[in-house]
Amino acid sequence: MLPAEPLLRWAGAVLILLAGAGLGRWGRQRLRRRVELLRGLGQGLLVLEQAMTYGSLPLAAALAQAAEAAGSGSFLFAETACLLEQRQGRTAGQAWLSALAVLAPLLDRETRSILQQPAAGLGWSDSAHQARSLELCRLRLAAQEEQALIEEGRCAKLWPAFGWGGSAVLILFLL
Amino acid sequence: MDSAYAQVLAYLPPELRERLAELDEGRQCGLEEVRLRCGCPVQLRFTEGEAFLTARGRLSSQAAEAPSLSPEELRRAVLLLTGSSLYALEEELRRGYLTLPGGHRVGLAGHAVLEAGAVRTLRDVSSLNIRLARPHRGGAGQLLPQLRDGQGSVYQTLILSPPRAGKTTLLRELARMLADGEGGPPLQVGLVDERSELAALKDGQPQLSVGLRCDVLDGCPKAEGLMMLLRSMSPQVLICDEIGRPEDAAALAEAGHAGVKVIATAHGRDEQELRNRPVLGPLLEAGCFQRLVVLSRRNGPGTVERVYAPC
Repeated sequence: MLPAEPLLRWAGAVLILLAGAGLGRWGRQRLRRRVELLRGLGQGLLVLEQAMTYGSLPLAAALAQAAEAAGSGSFLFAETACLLEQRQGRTAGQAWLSALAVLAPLLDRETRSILQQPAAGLGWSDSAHQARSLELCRLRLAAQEEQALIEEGRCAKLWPAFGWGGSAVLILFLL
Repeated sequence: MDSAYAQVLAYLPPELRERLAELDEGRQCGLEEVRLRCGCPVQLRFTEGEAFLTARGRLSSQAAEAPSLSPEELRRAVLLLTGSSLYALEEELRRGYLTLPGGHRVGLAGHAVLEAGAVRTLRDVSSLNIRLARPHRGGAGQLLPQLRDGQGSVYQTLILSPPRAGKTTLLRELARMLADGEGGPPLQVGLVDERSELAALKDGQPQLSVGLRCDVLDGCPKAEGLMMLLRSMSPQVLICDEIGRPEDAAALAEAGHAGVKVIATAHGRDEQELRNRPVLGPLLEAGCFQRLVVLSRRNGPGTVERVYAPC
C-alpha cells in the first residue's frame, strides 16, 4: 500500500462531504428560487395589468414596465417586449410564448400551463377583458407561490440534512 | 423601396409583406390604399385604377386569381397594426380609425359594441383600409396665390372634395408653405391634427413636413383644438381637416371673430351639396368662408377644379 493512500481516502471523504453539502444547499436554493420566480412573475403580471388598464400604455411599453417590477421573472416580460418591438410579424401572443419557451426549463408543467393561458388573447380585447385574463393568471400563480412556500418551509431543512447525512453515510460505506 | 410603402409594410403580417414587396417601385409609389377584408382577396387601389394581389405578389383584375384573406390572417394584421394593444385604442376603435407612425390612416369596420345607444368600441374587425400618407411638395404652389388676400394673410378658405381627392395632402402642403413663407410673408400657423395624419407627430416631432412656424395640436378634437390654439399660441392662420360637426362650426365662427383666418376641409362634391348640409350650409350663408376650393381626381388626386368666392 502506498503511503499516500490514507491521505487520498481522507481527501476523497472531504470531497464527498463537500459535494453532499453543496447538493443540500442547491436543493434548498432551488426551492427558494422557485418561490422568488413565482412571486416575481406575479408582480410583473400585476404591473402589466395596471399599465394596460390604468395607464393605457401600448403593450410593448407596458411589458417593459412589468419587466422592471418582476425581479427574477423579468425575462418573460422583457423578452416579449423586445420581440414585439422588433416588428418581425409576431403577435403579442406569439412573442409571449417564444419568451416562455426560453424560461420553460425553470418552470414546472403547471406553472407553464398557467403562463401559457394569457397568450391567446394578449392585446386582443378591451382593457376590462385583458385585466380579467391577467388577474386570473396572477391568482393561479399566487396559489402556486403559496404551495411553493409551504414546500420550501417543509423541505428547507431537509435538503441540507439530506446532503450532509447522505454524504456521511456514503463515506462510512466507502471507508 | 418607396419610404411610405416601406413604413406601412412593417406593420403587416410577414406573408402579406412578402407578397407586397414583389410590386415594382412604380406601382409602390402609386399605391394609395391597401384594403383587407375577411374572406376576400387583398385589394390595392392606385392613383390609376385598382387590382387584387395574387399569391405571387402580382396584380390581377380578377378576384378569382387572388387568394382570400382568412379570419386568422386578418386578426393577425389587426394585432400587428395596433401593436397588440387594442385595449389602449378604444377611442380610436370607437371613431373607426387609427393612425400609424408616418400619418398613414387605418380605417376599421366590424361589429360595433354599443353602450347607451352610442358606439363604445369595435370588435370582430372584418375590414381594414390602410391609406398611405405621402407628402407632395409643390402641389399647392399654384393654388396659394389665389388664397392670399393681398394684406399679408390669407382668405378664410374651405377645401371641398369627395374622399380620396387629396384634401389632406393639399392642406398639409398649404400649412408648410404658409409657415415657411413661400410665395408671401411667413405666417404663424396653428394646426389641429385630430387624426394625427397631417403632421404625424412622433415624440413631439412632425414626421411629415408642416413648416417652420407651425404649432401642431395632435389627437385633439377639432373644435376644442381650434380654441386651445387660439388662446395659447397666437396663430395667424388655423388649419384643420374635415369639419362637419356643430361644435366645429361654432369654433370656426369664434376664430373668425377673433381675426384669425381658418383653412379647413370638408367632404362634398360642390357648393350646392355643401349648402344642403345642416352644419356647413349655415356657415356658408353667414359668409364664414371667403374662398371655396373644389378638388377632384380628374387628373389624379389634388386636381384643383375651381377656386372662387362663394356668393
